[in-house]
Amino acid sequence: MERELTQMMASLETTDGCEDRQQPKIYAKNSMDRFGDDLCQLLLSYLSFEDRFRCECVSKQFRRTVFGSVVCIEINDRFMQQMLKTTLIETLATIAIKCPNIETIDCRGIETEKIREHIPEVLAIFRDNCLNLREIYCHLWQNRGQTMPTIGPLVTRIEVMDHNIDTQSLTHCHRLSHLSVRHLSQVFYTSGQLMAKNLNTFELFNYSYEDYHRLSAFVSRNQSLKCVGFYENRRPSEETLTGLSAQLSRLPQLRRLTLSIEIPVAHDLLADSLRTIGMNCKQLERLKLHLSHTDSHVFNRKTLDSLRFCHRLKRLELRIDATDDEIVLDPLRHCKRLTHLELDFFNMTANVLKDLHINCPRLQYLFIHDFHSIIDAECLSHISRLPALQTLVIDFYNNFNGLRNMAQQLTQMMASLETTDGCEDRQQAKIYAKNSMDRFGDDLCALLLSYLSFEDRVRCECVSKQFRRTVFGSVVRIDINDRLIEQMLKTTLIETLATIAIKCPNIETIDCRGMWSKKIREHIPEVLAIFRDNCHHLRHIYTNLWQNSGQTMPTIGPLVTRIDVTNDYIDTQSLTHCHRLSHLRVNTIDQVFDTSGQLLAQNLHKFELNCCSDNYYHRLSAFVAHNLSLKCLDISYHKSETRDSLMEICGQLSQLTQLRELNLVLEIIGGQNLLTDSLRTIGVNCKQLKRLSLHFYADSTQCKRQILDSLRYYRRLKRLRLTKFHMLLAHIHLSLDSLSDCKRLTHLEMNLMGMDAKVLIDCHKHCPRLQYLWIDGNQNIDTECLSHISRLPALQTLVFHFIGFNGLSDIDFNDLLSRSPKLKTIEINGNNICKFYVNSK
Amino acid sequence: MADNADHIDGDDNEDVRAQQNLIKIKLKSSEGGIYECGLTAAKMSDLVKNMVESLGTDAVVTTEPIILGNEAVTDAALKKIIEWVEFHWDDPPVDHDFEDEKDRRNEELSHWDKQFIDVDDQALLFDVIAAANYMDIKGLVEVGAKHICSKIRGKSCQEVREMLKITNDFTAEEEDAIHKENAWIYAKD
Repeated sequence: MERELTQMMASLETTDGCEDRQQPKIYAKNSMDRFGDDLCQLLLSYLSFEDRFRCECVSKQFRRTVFGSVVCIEINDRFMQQMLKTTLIETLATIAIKCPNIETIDCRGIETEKIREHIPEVLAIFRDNCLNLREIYCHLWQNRGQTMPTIGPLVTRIEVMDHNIDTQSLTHCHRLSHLSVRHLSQVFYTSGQLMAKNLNTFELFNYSYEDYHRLSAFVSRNQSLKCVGFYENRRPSEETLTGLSAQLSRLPQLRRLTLSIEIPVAHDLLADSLRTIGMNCKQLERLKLHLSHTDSHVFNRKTLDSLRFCHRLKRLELRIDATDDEIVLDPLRHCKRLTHLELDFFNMTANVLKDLHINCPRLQYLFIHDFHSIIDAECLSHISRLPALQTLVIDFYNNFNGLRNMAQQLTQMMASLETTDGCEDRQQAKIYAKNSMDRFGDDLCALLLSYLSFEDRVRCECVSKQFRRTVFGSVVRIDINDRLIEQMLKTTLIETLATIAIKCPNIETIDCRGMWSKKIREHIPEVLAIFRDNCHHLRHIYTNLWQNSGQTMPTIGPLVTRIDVTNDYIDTQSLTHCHRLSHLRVNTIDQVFDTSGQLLAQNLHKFELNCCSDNYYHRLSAFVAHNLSLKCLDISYHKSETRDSLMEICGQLSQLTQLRELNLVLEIIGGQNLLTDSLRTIGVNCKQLKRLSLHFYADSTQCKRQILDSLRYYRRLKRLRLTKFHMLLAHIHLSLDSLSDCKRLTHLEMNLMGMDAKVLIDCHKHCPRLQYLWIDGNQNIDTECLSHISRLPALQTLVFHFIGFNGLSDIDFNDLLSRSPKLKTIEINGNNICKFYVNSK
Repeated sequence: MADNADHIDGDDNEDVRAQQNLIKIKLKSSEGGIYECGLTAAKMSDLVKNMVESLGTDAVVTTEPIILGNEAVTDAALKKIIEWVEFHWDDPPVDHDFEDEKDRRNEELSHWDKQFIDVDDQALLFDVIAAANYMDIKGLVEVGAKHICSKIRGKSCQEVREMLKITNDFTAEEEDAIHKENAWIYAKD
């Protein structure tokens, strides 16, 4: 039957094509025959699937064109029942052959148990006949496991229908993008491994705090999630809600969110959660909030207040059941992009709509669920003021007396409403003196003043009205230190801080690492609370971790991105609240692990480790494995007892292939032969490394030579700093020839005690692109040194720091400036001298 | 291999920039003065860069002067600006892996820049800043901003007004109110 049909179809095409070409027929203007195949196919593509079959034999042209546009087919119970009246397999095969362009099959409409049995054969037929099939959407039922291995690679959307369904078969669905489950354990193997990664859309129907670690694991492997729905019909506990919002806030790509929950007893909790999400998910455009009743019947205004942090929202749906309080939509004025609003309040009143036109001036679509028939002329008159409204939908249960009249009324009101703004008074341009700063416009004035310190800004606020307008707008970051707080404590601290927070609405970052002294530290929680509540752009807090900071972390944690742990004995468990941490400084590697050995900091950008010794090797290994994206690392290594340990540590560091900057402090006592190998591993593997600083303390000459030798493997290095290379006692010949492989080197800083002119021999050959040279701590700079330096072809800046000169005078330096091809500045500083030589040509 | 290829590209790029700077283009001030400037240096101004690129061939560029119509671009200001870009055109390029807005903001001006911008004639200083802003030379506007802010540092409002010739448009009451808001900054032990 299949073959027959294919033949028929083939013969159909060929004969038809000839006819057309022979002589163009003339068709009646009012006949659909006048259209060519392309247009005909386009027109028929809007037919339902069933209608296509009904129409197939209208004409040969219909037959040719009616199925070509079928790219997506939805199979549901009704459709299957109809087909089961014939021979199912044959019918399906015929369909599959007639519709060769099918790309997507959605069989989520098949629900009854009897019909579900046929799903495997249905999918098999389409899979074998439709070569363009790329996506299958389906439900996961209890017994569906066995078909998954064969269709899995095509399945992109799955809805798991029940709590008890075994989901292990998800492992076959590599291309899954949409997933809906009843319980989080359904996305994990029994072994605890995550099954669904890089999803686009995710729906979850039950969540509780026991699942927190699962959710965290899920979120970290699904950073690309764009659309998330949470449906929970139990009242969430405090941990559940904070955990949920903390995890959601880690999804920077999130565009749509649905939260359907009961209002928790502690109302602030919901507000805090929404705030966390709004602050972090900057892409969030659509939000649905379904809040069901609690026994208290009190609705906390703070909840909606926190919507101000979702200021990119375009569409908002609010469903709030059973509250006795009146709901106020004022906070929506912060959502400046809002175009669609759906309101479903149990207690709807005209007052809710009162200032809607001020709060939502861009609203285009308004949906109101009119539960108690409160929509009256007053409501409509409020609505009529919405300047951009295009569509109004009112959904009512009973009794719409006079509503029809009102609709008419409303249309009239809307029509007559033409906004009357746009005629702002333009003042005449004044003429200012050339030497007066008044001549600059606000933009340039703001830019110039943006380089003032914070205190100077405050001091200058009342210089002029222009200063007042422009001096605070550019404050995006504020450093709070002991001195600043001490000064403020001379007045009322809280009031002063609140004034500042209001004057500087654009603050994004607060660095309170300068709050150091014990008395001042006590104020950290209140300081942060004030800024958190007033600065809506606040996204980063940098802070120290003190012994007692643990208790504030749960509230500010989601905003904390940099932490310095201040000493060895601090309990770092509270790091677990800082999901967005990017910079971390600790004293020992133990501080990034909790007592159970779980790693507390992942995917860091920068890490500083003050003390690394051999014992911590396995911990470093675990840290590296979860921080492969690390860009910058400061690490100190002391007291190596065995020679292999440094090799092992370097082996670990060499896995950090994204590393851009490495600052290494090495303190090695006793001879070591493997230094070259150890450092080479890093150089060979960390290909992105652009900046390297080696602070090296060793007692053997051989070590120093090995270190210099290993530099030839750091071929992409742009900046190199070598310090504490004591050479005073060395009396050996070291040369920079190992740098000749670092062809991109532009900056070189050297602190080479006891260095003599020999080190610089041929430096112009080894470092032809060197632009910046900094030499520290050498007592023997002489004319020979200068003569080597003068050959550096690209050198622009030369700095001597704490240097002793061997009979050199101004004449020698000016001479160097004139001989060196590109040298612009020589700077000599240290020992209270600061001297410049500048090229005057 | 890849390493080498990259490396040569980099060298080429520097050479091209050096070579292009040997091409001299003409810039015309709002007062009519015409001054020569290396092409690479002149392109530090985004305004000039866009104009040159939209004009296309270098031949056109070298004969016809580019007119800078803003009244701040006086002869004296334009000379200063050309001096600055001719000194800075071969500065090391920005490395986006490290470029931190905050670091750059806090960096002290180089000795050369300090000398360059320390102009006695405040009208000229403001011309240079306004002209650099008009010509879209971000580095030079920054130099001007840091210079002005270093002069404001630690001064009282009245001193700032006198130094920068700013008209006080507050009433005494308004000024008092602000002083009250900022009481902490003036507080003494």
